[in-house]
Amino acid sequence: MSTENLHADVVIVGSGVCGALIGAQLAKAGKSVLILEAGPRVKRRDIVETYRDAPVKLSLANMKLQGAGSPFPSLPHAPSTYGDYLEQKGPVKYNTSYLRVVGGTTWHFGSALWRLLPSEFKLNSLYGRGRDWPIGYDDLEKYYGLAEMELGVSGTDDQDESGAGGSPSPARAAPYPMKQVPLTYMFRTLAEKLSAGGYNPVWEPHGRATRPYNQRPVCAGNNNCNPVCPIGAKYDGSMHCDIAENRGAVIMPNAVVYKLEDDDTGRIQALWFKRPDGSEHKVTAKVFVVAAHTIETPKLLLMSKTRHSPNGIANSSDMVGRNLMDTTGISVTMKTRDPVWPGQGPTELLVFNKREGDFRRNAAQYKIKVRNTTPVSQYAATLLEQGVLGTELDRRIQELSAHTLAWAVDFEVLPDPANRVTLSKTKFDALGLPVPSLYYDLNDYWHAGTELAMQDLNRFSQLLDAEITKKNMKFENRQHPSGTTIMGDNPRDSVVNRDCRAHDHPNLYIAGTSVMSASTCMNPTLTAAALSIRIAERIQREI
Amino acid sequence: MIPHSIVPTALSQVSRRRFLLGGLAFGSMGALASHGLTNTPKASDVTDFLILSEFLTGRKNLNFTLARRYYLGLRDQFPDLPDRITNLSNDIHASGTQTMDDYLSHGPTPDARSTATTIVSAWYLGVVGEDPKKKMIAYSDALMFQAVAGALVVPSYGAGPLAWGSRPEPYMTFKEAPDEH
Ligand SMILES: Cc1cc2nc3c(=O)[nH]c(=O)nc-3n(C[C@H](O)[C@H](O)[C@H](O)COP(=O)(O)OP(=O)(O)OC[C@H]3O[C@@H](n4cnc5c(N)ncnc54)[C@H](O)[C@@H]3O)c2cc1C
Ligand code: SF4
Repeated sequence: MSTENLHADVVIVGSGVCGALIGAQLAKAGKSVLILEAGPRVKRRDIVETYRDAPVKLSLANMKLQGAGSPFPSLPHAPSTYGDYLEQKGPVKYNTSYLRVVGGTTWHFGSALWRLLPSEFKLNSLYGRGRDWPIGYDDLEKYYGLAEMELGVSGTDDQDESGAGGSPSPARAAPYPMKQVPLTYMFRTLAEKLSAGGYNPVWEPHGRATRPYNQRPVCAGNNNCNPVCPIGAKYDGSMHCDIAENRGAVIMPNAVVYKLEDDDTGRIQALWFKRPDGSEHKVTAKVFVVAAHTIETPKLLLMSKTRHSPNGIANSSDMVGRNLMDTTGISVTMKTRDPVWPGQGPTELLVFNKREGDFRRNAAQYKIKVRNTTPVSQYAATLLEQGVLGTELDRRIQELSAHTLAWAVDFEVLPDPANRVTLSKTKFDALGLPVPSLYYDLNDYWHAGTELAMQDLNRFSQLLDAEITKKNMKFENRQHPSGTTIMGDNPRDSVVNRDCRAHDHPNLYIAGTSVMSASTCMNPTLTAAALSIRIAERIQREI
Repeated sequence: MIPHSIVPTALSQVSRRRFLLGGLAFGSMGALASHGLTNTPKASDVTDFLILSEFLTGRKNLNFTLARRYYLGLRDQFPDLPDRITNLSNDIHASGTQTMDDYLSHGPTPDARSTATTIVSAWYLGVVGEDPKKKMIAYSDALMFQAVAGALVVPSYGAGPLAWGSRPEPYMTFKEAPDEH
């Protein structure tokens, strides 16, 4: 063991958007901040180069190929989740793909940045399902606004984001920091035709710059938001890593935290991390923040079995790792009679939300989105496999590209303690740390939601004069994990309190989507970012 | 905007040999099989491959440097490539057809068709071979993108700041346009 003893006012585990936001804010307030990051630093131009040179290219349009195609590094001490890193134990595979690099998973996120609706904090009291959050929309509104400024969100003011076509909701104190991107031909056409059938198009708020924003250029329609924006127009966590470092925070890459230690008063005394060479190092601090992603955060807490916390840190409730949620979805492909041309501009924008209504007593709420990823390479490969050659090959590539619509639906998933992250008993990484073992299943509530969504999609196909050519009802992971350190007022059935502070440890905060009490059907990162800013404010007051 | 090719356009030698399509050009392929393989193919082998590729893809201006890389990449993965090319060339000659579409309706032999598909796949996808030996040769120059050029960008080569909105019009058009309106 190393004798080196590192100390900071605040030590943060994980340099993703949540950890980096907290680090940046506390460094600005003059605190000494150390951010430990399991993965290496990466450069945008190297990732873009690796992407362009790869024979198999990863994109949201070819999820099945993802094992082969990520341009991000996979190192023995920080293995990629593409491939067989995660251990799957449940009936439904939970194949999520987070990144371990400085900046975290948002390097390849789609950047949809939604606020939750007031009703989404009250699922149980309104509809008798799941749990209520201990806080409400009003508690978070200010922080949503700050998070939108920090992340640089472009959005459409004055629309009803619930999808019901009513007055603007949720209520906002300030407009979006940037205006919405221009509509593409496809988005305009689909919105017109589906509006005529009574549907309410909603324009997704997202993290692509539509005017120069901080260091970011304007989105240039590279259509490459996943796996990497070549020009950094789209927000990712590396941007707050840069800000944090410029303000004096220290980011230590290739530092894999494997243990937190508490004392008999419940205070966290220290944490331990390993270097790629296996050497072990200790860090002490006044306040500890774990922001290691919804799968790795509970893993770290469960690995930290101490004399005072024999079930793992923050786990007196036995809820650490449980209530694993996602916005697990289905997808439908349609062939339209008229050309629609998906693939211009950014990869997503138009959605149809069904977030509110009494149906939620019986069925999951959902969001229907249309993918706007250029799928040319998949179509060309498929046609060639079918032996199509000659002029017909060009004609069919063009036809498929212009006439194929890929719809995807994301559903709310209820918190269920049986769905959980545990430590693998048989599989370990190169540092000897157990890999996460996942158990996941979906209940009737989710299935009932899929039936409602299919009714909408069938209606879409009529309104668009399109034919449904493919359906996948098989539980597509939507990369929106939440719930594994669930927030609540009752220390017996939740891990953190309304301030994201561990019930069991006064100087331990947990940042990330893992604290969410309900998954909703929406992308979770803006909520996690808002909570992170709130955490930083709390810590700033304390030390 | 279409990304500029990073490789220079075909050698003048190619255009000279192009005149020979249907005669000599394919003829020299036959000799190749008996030469045994070397790592550096003769320029004429590559030129022949280029001319054959232009016939198979219906393109007139394929790039010599890329042809060389596809040829080497394919030969690496399919050691019998020269023989297969000879058989395909012979089949095309025997058919007496002048365009790929005519050749296809004439009916290639299964072997010839399979070789043609291998070569066309390489040019279209920019990739040679099968997993796990897949190799990337070209990205933005892959021919598949030409089918949608004008309408869609090659992912990661954007059209410019907020440069979209009008109805996409691909440069490539077809006699029987896909059923519009
Ligand atoms: C393909 C894809 C698309 C997505 N699209 C969207 C979207 O459009 N909208 C949206 O809201 N969300 C989206 N998400 C989800 C979003 O990326 C996450 O919600 C977000 O990254 C969470 O941020 P975080 O900081 O909590 O975790 P991360 O960004 O994952 O960062 C956590 C960091 O902690 C580090 N770490 C982990 N364990 C340790 C350890 N033991 N020691 C030290 N460091 C450690 C990791 O290496 C990582 O860098 C998407 C995700 C994926 C995969
Ligand atoms: S569309 Fe292109 S420029 Fe815009 S955010 Fe996505 S990758 Fe970046």
